[in-house]
This record gives sequence, structure tokens and C-alpha cells, in this order.
Amino acid sequence: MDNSAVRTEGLTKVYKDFWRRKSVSALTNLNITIERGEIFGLLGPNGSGKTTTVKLLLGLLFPTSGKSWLLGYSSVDLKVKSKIGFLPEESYLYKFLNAEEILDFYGKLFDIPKIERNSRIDKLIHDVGLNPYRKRPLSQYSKGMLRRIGLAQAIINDPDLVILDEPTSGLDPIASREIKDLILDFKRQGKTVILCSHLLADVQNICDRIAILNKGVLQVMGNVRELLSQKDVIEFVVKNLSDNDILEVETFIKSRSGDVLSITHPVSTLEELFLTIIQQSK
Amino acid sequence: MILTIAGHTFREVIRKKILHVLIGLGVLIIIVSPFIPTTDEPDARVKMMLVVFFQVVVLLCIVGIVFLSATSLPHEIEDRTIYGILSKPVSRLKIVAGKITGFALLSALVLVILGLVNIVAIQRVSSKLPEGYRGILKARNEFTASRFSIQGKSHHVREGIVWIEGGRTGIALWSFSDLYKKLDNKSSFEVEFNLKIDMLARVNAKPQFYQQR
Repeated sequence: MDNSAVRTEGLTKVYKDFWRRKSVSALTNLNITIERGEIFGLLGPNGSGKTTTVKLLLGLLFPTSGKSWLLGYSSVDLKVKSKIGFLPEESYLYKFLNAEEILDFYGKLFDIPKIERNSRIDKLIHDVGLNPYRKRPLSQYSKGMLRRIGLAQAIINDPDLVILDEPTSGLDPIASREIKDLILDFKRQGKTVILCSHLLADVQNICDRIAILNKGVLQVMGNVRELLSQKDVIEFVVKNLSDNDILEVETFIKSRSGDVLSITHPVSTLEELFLTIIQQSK
Repeated sequence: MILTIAGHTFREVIRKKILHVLIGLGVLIIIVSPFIPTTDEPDARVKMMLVVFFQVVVLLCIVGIVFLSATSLPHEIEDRTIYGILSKPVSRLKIVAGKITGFALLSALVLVILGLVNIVAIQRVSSKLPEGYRGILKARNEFTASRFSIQGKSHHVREGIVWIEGGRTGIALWSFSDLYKKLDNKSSFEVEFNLKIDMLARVNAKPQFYQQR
């Protein structure tokens, strides 16, 4: 029994034109393994094959060659889909339905019994903060609201594996933070999360491991901390030190083997500043 | 599962404006149809309405629904809303079957609505017909052979056939509910007509009957 959440072997996708001539090679020989319970980031510039990878994993596209397994099942197996939640890149949702109806529809596709379905829908709409707008058709939703309802439909079946394609695109920093908190929550519940994004800050904050794709080829894969840590640089964070003391420490370090690269005040990120200001104004 | 998708398809089209236009147009044609100029025969108007309904309104619905259903799936693929369903545990075959069921239900609904409107319209027009012509709408009643009878005054006789007043040439489909098969012959029924004709006016010729086997 395969214990990994996702495994691919030589996954390749070549898009062909109408005459079945080779036109674009979207993904070439991808081999990745994602363990259960981790948050895995799939990074790359636009058109690098992230979405193609996700579609191949979900069986929305058929690979030109290679194979993939999700939760131990082949990804073309229908059974595995009941354990997967998927948030597409854009919210490919039916605009003529309202929030309740769309969750009900997707819930029915998973064969969730009516009573449980209704209670889950109530909880999800509440969790993603759309309770006041639950009867409004999706055509009147803002982009952020569409992302939220998209996320709600992705987890209606309480999946073991959640695949999120650009979950925070088009969201304001507060909503984006909320979604990131939600993703960390998934991890706490023991779910595996695959996160496709080109918003690097998001990925750095929450992913355990990442893979970087470019032009359909895997460039690098590994633990985020290990990939980012500069092993030969040491950082001290000190509070309330006078200017004289700083000079003294600097001369002390220079008298030993170290080189001082910079002595600055750390900056908080713009995101943190924004969040504090908004929270204060409430 | 198929029913879920069918219901969804149904709801999708109901909320699109095209269907409203289609039904509106159908109703409009039915309402206008009594005013189409016809011959002087009292029931010609009703006949015209029937022709308009079966040949214009029904055809319109067929074309409209074929158009809607043929564009439905390609439109979903273009919109990529299909990914939402495909990523759920539903096979592609069931999606197509669901779509077909949905549109079948939809066309049934449209026909029922327009049919009811048509029945009301025709009833209104035919209620103003003179007494003898009302029967035009009753041609498809079911008869039991044991209770089969025709009533009417004889009108004239030609080539040995008695013509009954108010009767006209035409094709009638009689379906009898109480016929039974003979055991030894599987492909034909034996029908025995026991006709009794009460003639109110004197007729010189003998009525001619056909017994069919």
C-alpha cells in the first residue's frame, strides 16, 4: 500500500494541435512524491506547468506518458475523487446559482446524505464568512467572495487531500491571511494540501516543501527552510542596545573571524503593517 | 447522480432567459393563431389552431431545445465550469447522461406548458362552435366495443352508404380496450360488429356494413 499522498512517475503532457502534431510540451518527466499531512507548494511563473500538473493529478487531462497516484489510487480512479477537494485557478463556478445551491449541488455529487449536507453547508458558509450573502446569485459576487465560495466547495466532502490552485489570487490582504490560516488549519486536521501559487510570500509562510517548475521541467524540490537558509550567515536579534554598545559588539565580532554584513533595524512586512492598521481602525 | 446533474441542467436553463423567450413566443403564436384567416367552415378555425400548434409551435420548441442542449456542454467546457464537476467522483458518461435527461425533462415541461395553453385556447374557441361541430375535439376518446354506438340523423344516401348528419369524410382511429386475441392466430384480431342504427328519417337504401378481419 502506497503511503504517500501524491506520487508521479515520469508524468509528461504534450498538447497536440488539431492534426495531432506536437505543439506545446507543457510538462516533461515530472517525478514528485508528497507525503501525507504536509503542505506542498508548487511554484513557477505563468505557463510553467503548475495547472497542467494539477489537472493531470485530478484526471481532468490524460497524460501523454507517465503515471500518477493519489492516496494510493491511480488518479484516473473515480473512487479517489471523493477524498479530494479542488479549488480551480479561477472560480469556475455556475454563476446562476447562489452559495447554498452550489454547495448543495456539489454535495449531492459526493452523495452526502441530506441532513449532513445541510449542516455542512451551514458551517462552511459561516466559516468562509458568506453568511449574509448566501441567497445571492454568484454572478453578483466580488472576486474575493468567489474565491471563498470556491474554497468552501473544495472542502464540502471533508477531503484528505486538498488541491488549491492560486487560492489567494485577487484577494485583499485580510482575506488572504484568513485563507492562509484556513490552510494551516487543514494541516492541523491532518489533511494534505497542494498549493499552486506564484505569490511567493504566501508559499514561504505556510508550505513545508516546495517544487519549482519552469517551462514544464522540475527545477528544484525540497524543504522551504533548507532551501532558503543561508548557512554561513548568522543573525542576532537584539532589543534596546545603545549605539555605543553596538559599536563595541561590532569591533568584537571583527576581532574574531566574522565579517559584519549589516547592522539595521528589522523591518516588519507591509502585510503585517496593513493588518495592524486595519485592525486598529475597527 | 444522473438525476442530480439532470436537475442542475434543468435549473440552469430555467434561469437562462432564452427559455422564457421560447415559451413566450410559443404562447404568442397560440394566442394569435385563432385570428389567421381561414375558410368559412365553422370548425376551420379550430383545425387551423391545431395545425399551427403541431407544425409551428412544436417545431419551434424542438429547434430551440436542440439549440440549447447542443450548446450546453461545449459552453461548459469553454467556461471551464465542467472542471468543477469532473473533479468530483462522477464519470464522464454520467455527466452526458445527466445532461440528456435534463434536457428531456425540460422539453417535456415546455411541451406540457404550451400544450396546456393550447388546450385552453382551443377550448375557448370551440365552445363558440355550433352544437354539431363540438365533436371535433372528441375524436380520440377511447371506446369499449361492447358499448360502441353512433347517434345521429341520417342525412342522405349515396352509393349505398348512409351519411349521418354532421358527419364528414375523414380518418378516425378507433381503439377498443376490450378486444382479446384468439389463441390459435397470433397476428390478427377477430372483431364482430353488432351495429344498431336508429334512423329518425326514412332512408330508401339499405345501410352497408363492413366486417373487418
